[in-house]
Amino acid sequence: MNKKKRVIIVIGTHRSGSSAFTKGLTSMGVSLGDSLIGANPYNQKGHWEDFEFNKLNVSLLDFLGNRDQRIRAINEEERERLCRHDFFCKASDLLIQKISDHKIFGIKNPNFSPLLPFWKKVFHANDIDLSFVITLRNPWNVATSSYFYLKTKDQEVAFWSWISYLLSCLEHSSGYDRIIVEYQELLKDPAHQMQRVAHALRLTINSEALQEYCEEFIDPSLCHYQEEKKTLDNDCFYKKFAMEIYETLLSIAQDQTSFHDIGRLMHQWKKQFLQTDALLVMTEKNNLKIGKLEDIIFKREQTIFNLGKMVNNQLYSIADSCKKLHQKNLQIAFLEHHYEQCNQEIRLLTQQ
Amino acid sequence: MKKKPRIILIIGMPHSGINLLSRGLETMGGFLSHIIDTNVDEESAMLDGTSQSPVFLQDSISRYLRDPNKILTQYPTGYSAFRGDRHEISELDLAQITLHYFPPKKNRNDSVFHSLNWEMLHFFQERHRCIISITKKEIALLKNEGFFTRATQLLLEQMAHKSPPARIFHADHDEEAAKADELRYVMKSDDGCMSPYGPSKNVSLTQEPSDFPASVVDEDAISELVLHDPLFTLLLPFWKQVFQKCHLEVSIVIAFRNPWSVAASKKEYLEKSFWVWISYILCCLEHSNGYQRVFVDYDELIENPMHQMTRVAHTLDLTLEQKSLASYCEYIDPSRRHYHQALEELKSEGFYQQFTLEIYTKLLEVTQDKKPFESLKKSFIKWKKAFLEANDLLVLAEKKDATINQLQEKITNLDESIYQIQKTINQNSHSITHYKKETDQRESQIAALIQAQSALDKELFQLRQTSEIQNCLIAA
Repeated sequence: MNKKKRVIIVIGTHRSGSSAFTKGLTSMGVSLGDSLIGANPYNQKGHWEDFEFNKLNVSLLDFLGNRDQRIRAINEEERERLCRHDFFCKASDLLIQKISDHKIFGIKNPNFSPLLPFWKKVFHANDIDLSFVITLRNPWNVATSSYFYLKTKDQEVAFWSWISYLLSCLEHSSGYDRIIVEYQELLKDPAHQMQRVAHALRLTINSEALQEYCEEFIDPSLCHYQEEKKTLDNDCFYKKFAMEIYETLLSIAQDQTSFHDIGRLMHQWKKQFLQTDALLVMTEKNNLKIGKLEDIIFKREQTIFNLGKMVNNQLYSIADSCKKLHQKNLQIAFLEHHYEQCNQEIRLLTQQ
Repeated sequence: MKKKPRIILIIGMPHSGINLLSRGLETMGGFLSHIIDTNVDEESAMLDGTSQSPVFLQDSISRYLRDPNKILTQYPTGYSAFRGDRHEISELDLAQITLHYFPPKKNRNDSVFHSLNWEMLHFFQERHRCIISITKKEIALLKNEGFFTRATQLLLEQMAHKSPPARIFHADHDEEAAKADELRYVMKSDDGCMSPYGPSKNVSLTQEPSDFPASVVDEDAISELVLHDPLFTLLLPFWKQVFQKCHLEVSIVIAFRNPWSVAASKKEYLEKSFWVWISYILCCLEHSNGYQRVFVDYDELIENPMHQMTRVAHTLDLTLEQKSLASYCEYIDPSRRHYHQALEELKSEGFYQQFTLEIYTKLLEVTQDKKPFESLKKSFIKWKKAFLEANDLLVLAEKKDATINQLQEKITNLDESIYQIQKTINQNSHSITHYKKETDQRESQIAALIQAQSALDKELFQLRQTSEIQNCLIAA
């Protein structure tokens, strides 16, 4: 009998419906822990994401120096840097602490996607039975949603991040139980998607919980960006490339094809992606530099604002001093005049 | 058969020895003697790779605008003929740009063409135009803005300069007669744009193209006009149409240099430098197709100028002047080449370096006459495909560089503001201290006056009392 602890990781890109999906895992006896990030305008029905895993992932990316600008998955050298630092122990401790009271634990955080080479090592060291759910959404909609919610201004960055995250998910989930869930398919028929997941990951569905999830939690009106396929203008390589990956993965999500069938394609995609690797590194560096320069500008503007305030206070003080000085001059003039009058009177009285 | 006038274009990436090559072309038939007169400093800059690439030009425009007088006094007179109310940017801008990129030189042909090229690229207001070739859509935009007519006029004007007209006539009256004269060649383009220039005539700003007198030159006098400017590389799809319109023969000399050396001489990310190198090379390969063309490697030129000039002369059907060639070879000094790596020493890491090395190696084979130009055809298709896959990220990198430069400039301005405000604060602090001191002085003065007044009051009081007693006594 398998006594290994089970962990199901929900991976994919940001803004791909992973929060909406993850809640559904609870209908299959998967625990998400009790320190979840709450709802906010970015995810009105909650993130269903463990606060501490998110915090650790953020610190891992911060350590590598480019959290917000990350496009590519970490490479071997970066993974080893993280391991050499005490992050490996931190990650192991957190994992053990989180899963100890649960038979099957679910973790969702989009930052797992670029950090998978590191986390796989952690899971492997702790002898965890690992399964993956890859959430998928049309890259056009992810780009639009990222523009509004994550302030990703460059379409190129949004698309290349999408490509990079998905390729990392596909590469590092290989060899494990895994399944792709497409966001629109989930909104259309959540029950069917949950049954697919349960089947692929050997989980048992609680019908009542599933019904509650489908009827009360899933709300298609919360999907704000849904492009019509015919309106999309795939005029450049990265859009064509992303759409090719999306359409292939969509066919897996619709059970028309399998992971096994795309082995060759995957190899080709990876090769194509690696051709642009150096330019992506440069884009990350440039974005990082721009971020730093914007920070400097913000600080300089604050300094100017404070200095401006100081100048204003000085001007008030100068005006006040001028006023006082003027009053003193008037007082002196009055006293001198009075003194002179007294002197004159004295002279008169003395003459008398 | 009538001999057509010919344009010899020297194109390629900046830092690739374009200027050295243009100087080398002086050794051929003497037709360039009045064109090339580059100053020595510029050549040194090219040799050691310190001259700036066009991608930095835009940033420097604003800096140069701060000191226009300096620019005006330094700029050569050549651009004065290049006037017109359709210009989008002022002559001053053009002068600044040209000056910054290429130091002043007597070569009027190149500077006016460079100015026009820059104006065209500037028209798109996107920095990435300096790293990738213009598109068909952009050519149409340039045409709509009147650049095509201007380019045609400028070219004809410069051709007329090159071969002084035997006589000048007005297009409406004498053109047919001139055409009938078989010994003459009429410098006129298909759309009626004629050379606007005669030796003793200036262009009127109100003149329409059809009003311009056409230049007629002796057939024997028609020869070549050599132009060198890296910006021609990116604008070649546009200029090709201009050349066609003017019925000019075109020969192209493509200068290229070891991309590792180019990267070493530039202050930008290595990745970008390599991709820009690829962009220029592919642009040269694609748009020189169908013309008489020759590739010249910078290192080969430095190491064996005699052989390279012979290759160029042979390919372009030109005659070498041995005396000039000898002095040119003497002029080339390999010790002034600061960046050089032999092919066998190059280490290629990552796709972009392997890709660059592949292109460079194949080009070298063609340059060393080991393989014909045609051998590149198949590779070109593969290279172009790989380049197009990276194209958008390269454009993005260029945009990001522009943003970084703008932000850095903003920080400089903010620092200047902070310095000025701090200066004001210091001045104000001095004023405040001064006022405080003055106020203190006044207070002491007031205290002294009050004290003196008090003594005076006592004295006055006593005097009044004495006076009162005296008055009483007198009254009694």
